[in-house]
Amino acid sequence: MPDDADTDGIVSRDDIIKLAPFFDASENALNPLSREAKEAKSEFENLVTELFQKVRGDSRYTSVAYSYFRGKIRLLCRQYLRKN
Amino acid sequence: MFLRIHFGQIGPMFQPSHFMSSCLDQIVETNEAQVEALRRHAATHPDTTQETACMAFRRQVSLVEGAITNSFALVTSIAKKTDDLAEIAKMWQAMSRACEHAINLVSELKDSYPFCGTRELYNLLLDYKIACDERYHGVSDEILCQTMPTPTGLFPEMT
Repeated sequence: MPDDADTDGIVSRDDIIKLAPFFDASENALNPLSREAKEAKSEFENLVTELFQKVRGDSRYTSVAYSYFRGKIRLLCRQYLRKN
Repeated sequence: MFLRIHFGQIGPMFQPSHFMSSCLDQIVETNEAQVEALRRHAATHPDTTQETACMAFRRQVSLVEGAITNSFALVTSIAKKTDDLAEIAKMWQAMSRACEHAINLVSELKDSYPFCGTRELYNLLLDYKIACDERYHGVSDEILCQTMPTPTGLFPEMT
């Protein structure tokens, strides 16, 4: 097992790896009105919404607010991008 | 250009918040100077039905557009190199205020100078302000998350 192996939750490390490039292309777009930035933003938001629906289907997490969930995903993407 | 050269030299680990605050001050100052120049232009070119007046006015409109779009790109580059989320939030708040300052003036001018690019500039400024606010709110959510306990088993532990 590699040193940086991570413990997955309902949201997996692979989910973050998939989301991170969209977060990067949206959040760090020099031109926020470019097609690329808009598409990346849309992809990121859609994927986060999909994941949130999966989470809300689990009775342990019904009280998790979307703003918290999205904020945490952003933090994890930011953390991943710094290291990679 | 000055800032680009410096960021190229200092690399991603450079984190002096006083330097960034100084950059932000410069950005806001430059934007305000361009917006004020547009206001002066409007006062000295009251009749934009004349082609030469409209051309001069349009050039100043382009300068305001350039100031805002370049500042946005610069703030993005600085924010990307910044670890402190509170600093990033401050940058987007300042950039949003700069857009708002320009919007307030251009909203007055877009009807009196409709054929000199003011309407297009107004729409662009609104879009950029929305983008600044979205980035500010996104970072603010991240800051809030850091103060709350993480539910067990929900997120991966990315060490």
